Amino acid sequence: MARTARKASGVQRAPATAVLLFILPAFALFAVVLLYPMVSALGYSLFEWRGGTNLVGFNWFHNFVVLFTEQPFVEQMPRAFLHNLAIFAGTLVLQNSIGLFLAVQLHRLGRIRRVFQVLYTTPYLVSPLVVGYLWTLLLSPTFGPVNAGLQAAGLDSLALSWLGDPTTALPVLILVSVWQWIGFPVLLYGAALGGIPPELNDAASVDGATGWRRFRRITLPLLTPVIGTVSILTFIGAMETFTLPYAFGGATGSPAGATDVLSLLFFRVSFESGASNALGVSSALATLLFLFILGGALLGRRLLRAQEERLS
Amino acid sequence: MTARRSLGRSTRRRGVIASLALVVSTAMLVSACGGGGSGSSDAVRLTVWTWSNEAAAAFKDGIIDAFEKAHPDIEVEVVPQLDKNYETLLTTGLAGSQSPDIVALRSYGVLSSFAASGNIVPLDDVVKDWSGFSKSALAGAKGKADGKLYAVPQGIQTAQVYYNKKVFADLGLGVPGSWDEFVAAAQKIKDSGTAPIVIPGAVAAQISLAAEILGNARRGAGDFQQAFLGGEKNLTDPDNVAAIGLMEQIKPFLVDNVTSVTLDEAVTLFATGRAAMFPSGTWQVTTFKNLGADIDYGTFDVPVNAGWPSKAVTVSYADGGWALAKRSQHPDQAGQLLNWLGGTEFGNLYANAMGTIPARDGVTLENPLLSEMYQRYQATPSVYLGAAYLRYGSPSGTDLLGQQVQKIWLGETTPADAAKSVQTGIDAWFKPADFAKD
Repeated sequence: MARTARKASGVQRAPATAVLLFILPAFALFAVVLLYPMVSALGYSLFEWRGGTNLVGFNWFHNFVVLFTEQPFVEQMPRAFLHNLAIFAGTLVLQNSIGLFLAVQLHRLGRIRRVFQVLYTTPYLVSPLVVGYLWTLLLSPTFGPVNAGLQAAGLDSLALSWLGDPTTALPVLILVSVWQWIGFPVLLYGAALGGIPPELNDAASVDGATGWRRFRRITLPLLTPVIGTVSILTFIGAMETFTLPYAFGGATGSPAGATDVLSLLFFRVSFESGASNALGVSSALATLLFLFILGGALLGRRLLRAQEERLS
Repeated sequence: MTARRSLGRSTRRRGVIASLALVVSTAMLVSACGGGGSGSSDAVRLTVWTWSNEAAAAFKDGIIDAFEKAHPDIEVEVVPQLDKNYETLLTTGLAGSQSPDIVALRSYGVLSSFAASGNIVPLDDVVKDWSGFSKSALAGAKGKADGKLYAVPQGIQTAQVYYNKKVFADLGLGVPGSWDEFVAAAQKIKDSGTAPIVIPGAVAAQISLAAEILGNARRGAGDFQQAFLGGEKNLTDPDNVAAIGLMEQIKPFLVDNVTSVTLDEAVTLFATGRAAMFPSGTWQVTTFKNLGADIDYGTFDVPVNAGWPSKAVTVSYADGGWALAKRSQHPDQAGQLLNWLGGTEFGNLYANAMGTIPARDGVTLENPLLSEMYQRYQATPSVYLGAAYLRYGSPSGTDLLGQQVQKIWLGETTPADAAKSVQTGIDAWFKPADFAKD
């Protein structure tokens, strides 16, 4: 099939040099703007540095070894990584379920659903830093309205030190993150639902399928690609998350490191530590993070494709 | 009619005088430029970088004029680089061809790291007179590797306990004379229904600062510092454990939910009289003033009990300095400016404009509260160990201590384990031998 296509188009195929010439400007731009910074970070991670950007010498993978053998990384990296995973898991479950539920409900509404779509998407338009700051104010046990309201309602036992207690800080972080980004899956699922031909549901109804069965057997399978896309994007977002944890707990992931994530660790090493070889070690951490996200996203993509093929 | 005519004439006459003046002044200007060559158009222009907008404003508002009056052949431009990553910006700036001449640098580790990079030069022979600076101020300006002075100290931050005078007076309390009295006063304030102590317990660095204010003397102040930097003692020393223990001891007197209190909230709680004491740095004087807080407050250094290894001290650390860029186009003129920045004239102008404690002696502070801190500092200075030495590697010792104290407050660890944990953390990078030269 592929061969015949190539043969057919071969009649009008442009000369290779012309093709290269056309590609060159775009590739140059890509190389300078994307490829160079990425590769340079990888390069930095293989060298030892002293005092900012003074190169000491090539030291192979020593910076990576440091990450797995020396304090604070042996203690803080696994902890931060687990928090990233927890944020991913929590956000994945909540965002997909709530997002899908809202999208299905909105889909049943008529034109008015546009209004709700806009409403649900609004927090998405606000910077996570601002969102974090606002929620810090709202949840403050001393001055915040949330606890004041709970106490006024006689629910003193529920008026917790939300962001000051390690057991609640991370769940609150996840919830606020979901609150902020929920509009995104709602929009995607909404669009996908709109793309499902009504005839399918109508036919199933005629055959006597109930609402839940129709959802389970028709709607859900057809939404699989979108669920996969949302999941992969959630994965990338959760592994890279920085702004919200920073707004909530500062660079140390307060309280007592309960909201520490990998990007905060990176930030502390690269921007705040003033350590002599900060550039090398933080580049190594960035490279690891990049490789993990890339690997995770590719794996997710493959699983998704397998699932799609099984369904089709 | 006549009036108008005379008006016209006088206007004309004024015009003649004006054009005459113009000709004369132009002639003078031309002769000045042609002759001496020291006119303003030939003046050497020095560029100074700072991270602080306030500092840049203070310079523009009189400090530069004072310098240029005494040095007519030098022009100074102070550029605030308001980047969160000032140091990164500086790394690039100092390495480039458009290097600034003088840069403000944060003390201790940051300065040391720039000294190691070779992009700033030693000032031991550039600045003629270092005698006005205290030893602790100069310690913050030294390069770790060679022990040379790389900056003219800019200022000092002191840290002490702010207290609400009205709350204290209403309860018949005076400034406590011992730690036991301090705790008794806190108990009395608590019984009266006011929160005795507020600490921004959500912010690791702020907790660490508070721990230092409370514990520096208990740990042994300067003696401990020497032993610590000499490698004879480390943070698991019983005196340091006891010092961290003071943070556990004050737990009942802290505001509710202390681990969620941000810096803003702490300031608000103290400024509105809802908390009676607030251990914090010099800069809060400016904060309270800017808030327009209607509060009568004073400050004291944390008192000690008999038998503690040190008397009461003023916790302090060097807060930045002025360094000379290696690629400066005008090192001689920059040297003149640095000498001036190290003098009393600048000390007076800068400290009073900025509301900070000067790094050198012989300065008169207008603000009575700051003046008190300055006097206490000169009498009994003791270095904030964390800010001076434990912040310049990964993990930061002050961050670690802040987190451990949070854990103590949350009931998750003990002072002894906390001390051990901080020591294990800084062991990754902190080598006492590096500081033997101090």
